[in-house]
Amino acid sequence: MIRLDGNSILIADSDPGFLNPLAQALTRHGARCFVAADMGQARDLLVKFDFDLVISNYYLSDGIIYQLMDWCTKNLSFLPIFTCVGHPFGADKELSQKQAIASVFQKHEVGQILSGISRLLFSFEAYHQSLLEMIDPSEIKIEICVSDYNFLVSPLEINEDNVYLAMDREFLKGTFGVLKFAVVLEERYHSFIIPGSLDEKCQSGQVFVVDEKYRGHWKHFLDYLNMKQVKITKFLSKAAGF
Amino acid sequence: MDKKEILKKFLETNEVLIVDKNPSSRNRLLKTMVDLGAKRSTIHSVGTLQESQEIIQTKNIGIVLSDYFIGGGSGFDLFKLLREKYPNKKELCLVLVTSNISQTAVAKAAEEDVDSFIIKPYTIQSIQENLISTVTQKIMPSDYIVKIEEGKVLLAAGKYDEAIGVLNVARGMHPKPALAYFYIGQAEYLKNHVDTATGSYNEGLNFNNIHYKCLVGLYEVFMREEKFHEAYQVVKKIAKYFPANPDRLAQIIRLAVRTGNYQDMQMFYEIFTSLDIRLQVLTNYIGAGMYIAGKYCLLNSDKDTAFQYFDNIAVSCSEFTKFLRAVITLLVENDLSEDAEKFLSRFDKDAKDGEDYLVADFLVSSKKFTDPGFVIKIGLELWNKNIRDFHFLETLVEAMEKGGYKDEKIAPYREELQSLYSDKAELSA
Repeated sequence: MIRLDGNSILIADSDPGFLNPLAQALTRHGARCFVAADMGQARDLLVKFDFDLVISNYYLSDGIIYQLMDWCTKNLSFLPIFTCVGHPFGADKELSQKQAIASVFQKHEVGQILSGISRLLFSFEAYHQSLLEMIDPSEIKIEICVSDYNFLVSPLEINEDNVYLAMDREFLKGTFGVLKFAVVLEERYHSFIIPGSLDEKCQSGQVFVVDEKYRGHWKHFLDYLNMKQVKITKFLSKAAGF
Repeated sequence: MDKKEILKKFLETNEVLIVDKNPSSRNRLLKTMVDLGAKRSTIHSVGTLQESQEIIQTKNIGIVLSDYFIGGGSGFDLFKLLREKYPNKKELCLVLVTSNISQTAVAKAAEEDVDSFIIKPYTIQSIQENLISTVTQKIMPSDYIVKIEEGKVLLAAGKYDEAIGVLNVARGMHPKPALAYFYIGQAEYLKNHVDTATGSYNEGLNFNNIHYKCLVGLYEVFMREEKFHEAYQVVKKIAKYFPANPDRLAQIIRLAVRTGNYQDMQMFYEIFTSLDIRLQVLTNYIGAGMYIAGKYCLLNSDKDTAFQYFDNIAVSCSEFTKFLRAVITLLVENDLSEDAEKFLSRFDKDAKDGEDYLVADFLVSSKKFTDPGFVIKIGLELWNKNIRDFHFLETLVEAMEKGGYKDEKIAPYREELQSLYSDKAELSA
């Protein structure tokens, strides 16, 4: 059973016959849903609320999805993850992933949309568990969603635009993927969903290159690691210190 | 010399050991160390404790980077081995590189005197800064540390007064000389000057209230003096900041019971559940502590807290069926057999042939079924299995009396009850 509790989703489409049934289905599965008929309405909602995911038609009456994404990149501090609905050709899908659109769904296939976005978003159980614990996680665990598969990977070395991942599977250079992880920052739970692509596999793991649009979000994670490192070092030097 | 140069020079002239279960992780770290100045030919990377042991037997290792969990043990096990092998190698750098950032992992690192703790994923900058700081402190120690080392040597040689003299000089060389006070405390303790030692540890804690060595020193003094209440207060603080040590948690539970601080038991249970590794011996201690605290609360009309403790036993200590049996016995004794029955379901399927389950089940059944014939029937089955337990025998004898059994028929069971449990039998009569 798919549960999307705790996740906020914006659906942007000019067709009410698509918007409303999808919103109802997502709400039934626990998500907090908002709908927008065009890009203008979508922008208003994006300013007012923090969304985890946007499902947008490729074509909106006042623009296309890439314009909406560009606007979000410029104006929002936390970028939601974008998915697109339409009738894509293979080449369209490839192009959209280069633009960091995490998934392209066929319109009216609500079942596939649901399972697709549930792979991208945080599950209710994991989210609830983290809320319950409200403590620092004991281990930094990163989940990666590649080619409709989700699995856990170990992060090794991290940089401003990439991370080395230790993982059993090997993917071709350029394969699109989405990283999913959560940390506790100042006693608040923060989730990260970061699109990007995999680079060539080398002996020391496979490099995941963070999509440019999400580098700001990525930096928050780097800052968290730095802060955590400083705290640990301080504690160690105080407890075992001079 | 530039600090980066110091690190580079250190890495050029020392052999490096990298220990990580994951080959990609090892390779990445190896590449990073080469980038920082180490020679590829002097870096050894392995995945297990055993392989590490082989390396340290033959190589002169100067710096170790190990993950928390490694094949066949932990990074701390490896560090312990290295300290034993090189007791006088002051420049040996022990670095934990791990994604385990739990409080227990960090606290254990502090307790075990790990030189540096690097979070994985690490940035090149964070690893470089950490290693620079660690290596610099090792190869260019401050005058204060040099003086303390001088004092430690005198201490180890049994020259306590001379050590105190040197350490007193060290005390004046640092604005917060907690470590100097710790070693002065040690020297006084070894001279049997318990009050002076206590004062010294407290002085150290005035400068640094979580100084691990001073806290432990103070705890040891109080325990030696049998000042259990004072010892308990200190060890409670140690457990709060350094929850990782299973041996100490066992001591705390004993002290909490001894000093009647049953209300703290939930806190210790939470520490227990947060441990990365829960040894059986510790589970046994926590189970015993929970049972005693629960019993105390139950007998003092705090049923809610008592059941919280009993539930903890059911959740975390059910591998020790003796605790479930004890809880059920206690509840049946206190006319709470309905509650007792719920705990029966906590026995593992495989434990249902064992004496603990059979006795617990019998006691619950004896309250549930009013027909003495049924109770006697299952009671005799246990008797024939050679199971002997005070509450079981007492209940069996009562059922026989209620069922109208003649005295001579009951006599062997009464006699067994009297002979095996004379104290309890007299009390209950």
